[in-house]
Amino acid sequence: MNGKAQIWADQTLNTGVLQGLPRDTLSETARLLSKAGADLFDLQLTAWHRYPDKVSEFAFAGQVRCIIDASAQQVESAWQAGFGSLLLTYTFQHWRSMEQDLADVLSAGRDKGLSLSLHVVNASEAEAPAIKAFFPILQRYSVKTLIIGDRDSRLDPLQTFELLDNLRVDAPCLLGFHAHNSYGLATANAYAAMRAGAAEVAVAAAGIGCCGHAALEEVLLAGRCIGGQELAISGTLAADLATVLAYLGYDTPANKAVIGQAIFSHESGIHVNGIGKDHRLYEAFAPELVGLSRRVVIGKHSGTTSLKAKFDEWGLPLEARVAKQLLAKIRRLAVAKKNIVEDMQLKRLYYRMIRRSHMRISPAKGGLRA
Amino acid sequence: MNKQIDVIDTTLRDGEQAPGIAFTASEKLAIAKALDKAGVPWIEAGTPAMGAEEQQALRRILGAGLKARIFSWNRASSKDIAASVACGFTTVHISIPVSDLHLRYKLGKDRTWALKELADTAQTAIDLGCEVSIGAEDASRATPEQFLELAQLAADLGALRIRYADTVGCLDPFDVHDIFTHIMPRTPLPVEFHGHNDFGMALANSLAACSAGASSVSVTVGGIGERAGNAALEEFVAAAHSVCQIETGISLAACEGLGELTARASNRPIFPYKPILGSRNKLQDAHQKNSRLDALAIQPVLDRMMI
Repeated sequence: MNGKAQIWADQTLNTGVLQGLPRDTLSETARLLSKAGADLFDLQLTAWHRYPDKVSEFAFAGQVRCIIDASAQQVESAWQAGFGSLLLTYTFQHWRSMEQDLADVLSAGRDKGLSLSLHVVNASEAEAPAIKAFFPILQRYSVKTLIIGDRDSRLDPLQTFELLDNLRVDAPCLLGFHAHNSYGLATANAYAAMRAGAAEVAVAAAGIGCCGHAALEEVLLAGRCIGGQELAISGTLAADLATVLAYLGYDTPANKAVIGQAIFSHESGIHVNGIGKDHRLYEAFAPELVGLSRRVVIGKHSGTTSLKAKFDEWGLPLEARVAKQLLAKIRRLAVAKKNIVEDMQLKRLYYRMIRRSHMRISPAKGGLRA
Repeated sequence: MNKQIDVIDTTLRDGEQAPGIAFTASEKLAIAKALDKAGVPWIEAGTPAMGAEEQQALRRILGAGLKARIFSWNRASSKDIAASVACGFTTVHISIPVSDLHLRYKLGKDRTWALKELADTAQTAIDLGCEVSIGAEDASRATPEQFLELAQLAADLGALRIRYADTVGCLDPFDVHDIFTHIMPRTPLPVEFHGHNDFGMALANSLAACSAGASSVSVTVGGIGERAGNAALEEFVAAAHSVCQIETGISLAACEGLGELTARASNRPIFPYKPILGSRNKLQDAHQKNSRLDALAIQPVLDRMMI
């Protein structure tokens, strides 16, 4: 895989529209998502109606696609709201009845000169030949992209690859893939679709949205670091997506792959020891790539190597005997507070211990507490 | 009949190693009991070499009369094995790096030294009456031949199985499938896949390994673990059953309680969009959470109102 072959169809901004984010916040969210790599924003018509403004008044107007049900009336409403590109969502019963179901809406869209994409939300329930039987209709109505939806998260990555690879051979239009994340396979499925040559994949920051999506940041980094695609990665990716999630009312989990604040924090003795020798030992990619930084933290699993590294950094001497005593206290404190021991806390513990040993006060009298 | 996979839970070892997570002895015991009750057959309970307090916690787990097999994690060092045996462990996992990168930069030793160290440590454990499993750390950045060399040695020593660790989560499911298709016919032992989630693909990789012949996987509750964590127990149980027609014998309903218990003990909230455990991504109702029901019965909530 070379070069960016696909479009990232963002589903995050739609959550903002559904929540009714203020205009300015919505625009800022779109700006940050674009910076992270989103090319296109799918926005639901029924939710967009709560904004009095025409979509053309927003800076992101050129990147939007309007999600509508397959009804001619909604085509009209979307056109009036200023959308130039439509995403028809459709749940198939029988592929044979699809033309009948969709003829009106497809011709209404075509007659207005709108760009048409079709998202069959449960396409993953069908076999490839059944989907292919529908291809002539896509051609007849000049549908730009057929999006294979996996509404119930039925697919695994190997099946996703096989389906998309098979369909791509005869597809009369671009193929897209819309993963859901009921079981935790969305990122791998979106990645598999990309490998199979899908022209478009649905993604969202941290995989949020109804039934979950493929996480934008994971698909991006996997595409670049494992798939070898030449994908541009913003040096502020982690902070930008954390800001987007904050606008939507979510805290980014500390251990969220690619963007979590703590993913480059190292605590256990073995890992800190390894990182000190060569950071590649326990890092899949460099933290700078996404704007995070490496940190040695002290906690229940720290060893003397971690302590030594901290104290070296501070230019403080640490005798082996003191290190051992300090470590025992750190472990108890970490369990009691259920967290890492912060630098200032650690220094406090250290100085109390040093002071005590100089003044020769017995622990019973000294009453050492953090 | 669907294929059966042995789930090895390492919430109490690799999971707890996540920075900032620190369980008390009582929490460790409660989690071990809940894992056992859910039907998890193997529990990696901790690292006795950490010291007296950890050993005390591990003794309580070993003494709890659980059905699951409880084992400890050890470096290839006879000191670690002595600590495990002193706790009362009769099954021990011994880990050794297998990639050039780890051997050269972490240990500063050559492969011959590492293999000998491993063989000596495993023999010590066996002589002390233990059964051993062997861990190939950073196997994903070693060649298949380097992994197979260790697997052969482990088999010769009489090990139960060998763990293939994707230590930094740098594989994709296609890589895993190819690698396992290549190594499984040549490996004289059952192989366990141990995935990490650095690119969000630990679960997909674990399933790909199973589909290509791995007989067990290691997971943690909620996917907690170093950096971006490990494959999540509850996601593996649900996806194996519903997507891949693989059985684990573990109750998905019990996994939900485990998720809450572990989140509390970890002092970390569950992300609302976390599959299975998250408040916005839960399965439909209590009746449908039992993984033994028909695959269709654990369809996700199709809650169209996401706000």
